[in-house]
Amino acid sequence: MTSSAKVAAVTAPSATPDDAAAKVSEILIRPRRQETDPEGMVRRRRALSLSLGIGTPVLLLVLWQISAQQSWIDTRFFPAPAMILTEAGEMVESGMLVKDVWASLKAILVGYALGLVAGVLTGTALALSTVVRFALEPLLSALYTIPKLAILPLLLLIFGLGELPKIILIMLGVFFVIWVSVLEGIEDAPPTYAEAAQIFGINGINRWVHVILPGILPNLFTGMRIALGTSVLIAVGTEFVNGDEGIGYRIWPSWSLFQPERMYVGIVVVAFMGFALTWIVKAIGALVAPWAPRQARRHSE
Amino acid sequence: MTQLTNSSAAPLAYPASRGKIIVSGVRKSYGRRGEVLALNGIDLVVHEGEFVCLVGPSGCGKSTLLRMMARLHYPTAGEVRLVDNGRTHLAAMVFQNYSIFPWKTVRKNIELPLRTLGMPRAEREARVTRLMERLGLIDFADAYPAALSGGMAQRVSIARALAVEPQILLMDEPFAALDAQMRRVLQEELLSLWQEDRRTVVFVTHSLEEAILLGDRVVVMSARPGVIIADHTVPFERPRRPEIRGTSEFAELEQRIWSQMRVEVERSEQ
Repeated sequence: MTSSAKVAAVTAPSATPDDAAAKVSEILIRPRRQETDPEGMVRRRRALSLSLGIGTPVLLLVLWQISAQQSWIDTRFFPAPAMILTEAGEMVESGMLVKDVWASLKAILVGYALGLVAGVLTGTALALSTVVRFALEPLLSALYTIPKLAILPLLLLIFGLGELPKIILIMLGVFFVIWVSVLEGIEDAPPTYAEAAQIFGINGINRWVHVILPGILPNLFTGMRIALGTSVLIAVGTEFVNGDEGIGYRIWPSWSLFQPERMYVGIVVVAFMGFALTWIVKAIGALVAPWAPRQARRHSE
Repeated sequence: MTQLTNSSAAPLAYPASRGKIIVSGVRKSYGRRGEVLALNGIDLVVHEGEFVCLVGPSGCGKSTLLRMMARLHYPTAGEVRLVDNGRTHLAAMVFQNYSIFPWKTVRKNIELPLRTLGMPRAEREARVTRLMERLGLIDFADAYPAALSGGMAQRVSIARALAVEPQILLMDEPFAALDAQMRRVLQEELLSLWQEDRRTVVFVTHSLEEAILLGDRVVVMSARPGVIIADHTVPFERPRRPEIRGTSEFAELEQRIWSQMRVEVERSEQ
């Protein structure tokens, strides 16, 4: 019984009157290019992803450069990328940029670390004790909605000018994201884990080390990534209005001094800072919880 | 195909004998270099109006084969031919995990394909109502899937597939996630539903009992790389009643198929 014989039997028109009215056709399901040349498809896909991923921003930059040179756009607001690069070079040379980055980064790292510790402790305490939970959760949830920058004037009033209000504000911003993640992580853990722990007598500190804390890690790292964005935002926002160094401080007066190049340098540097910090948190997360489900599983296949 | 232990000499239990699905020389491999061979040379003809069950150990590629018939997967070599009579929707599928939309009520879920196919409102409502009555869903018409048990959810999935009156109904382990009693109930419902209109069905399952109860043929596949190692014609006449499960003939056939499959299941463990 060969396959061609079977096919011939089928393609022969049938004589039933039923079929005469409706049109009989054949659907063929055959290998596509993906199936005949899977390796080539993967290669082409990767090449396309790489070339478009790099090519698109490069193309936009080139377009921007040309538009600026040809005066199609107002270079007072959109200076040519080459000009911005030159400005960045000068800012690095004078040491200004490094000093600014360090000022912002320092505040972010200190505030972030403090907020993280406070958030993990609070979230754990809320999960651990119903009394703490009933006492604090409604209050914390209500405070959660206050935009952190709104209390900056209060902090300035209490602590005066300087670094401290900035660090406290970053800490608060991080704290509120983290305690929620930790509490949710503990709450959302499937009850069977706790049940298994109980059955096998895994209690007290062992339960925390082996069951509960590992369970919250995926949630915690998601919270930590969100908190990073928050902390950069608060740092820049605080520096806009207060202080004498930092990336925000460099971006803000540029509009009144009419130094758009400097403004763009600041924006790009902040973007890179956020990107680098996020990458670090992601890398630590992958190291600490390699078993966690991967977030975006794009580009698979 | 001479190595097949089939009993094709027996007269066919179904009326028509025209090929509806013709699988010839299908191979499927995965991986960039095709290093994992899932299916290795499948030839199979499913005739019009025939209920064919595919059984085999986990990972033998039976679902892959089924999904090719649904144009969800494509072969690495060979081809699958579907004969379309042009009268109704060609193929519908019932998935193991139901795949009904949580944001639509039971009625809207069943109605959706009819709506997008452009059927007039009155006609589709009548059809959906009839199906819901037939499948015992009418009291849940306006419920959301989250409120349904697994058995009810799968009934919705079956009703949705039947609503388009497909020429071919593909079922991918539809009852595997249900408890044993619910599985039995739905098997019996499907048996009587199918015997009303006898459309072409390809049914993938792990359960030999299910395959013998429902199928005109039970096609047995080997462990990976999957090939067809046997093609049994189920001798029970139609219309069948679920009581045949208790007959010695049924038990013998199940035992005979299991002895072929057992080797493959053990092989697939390694």
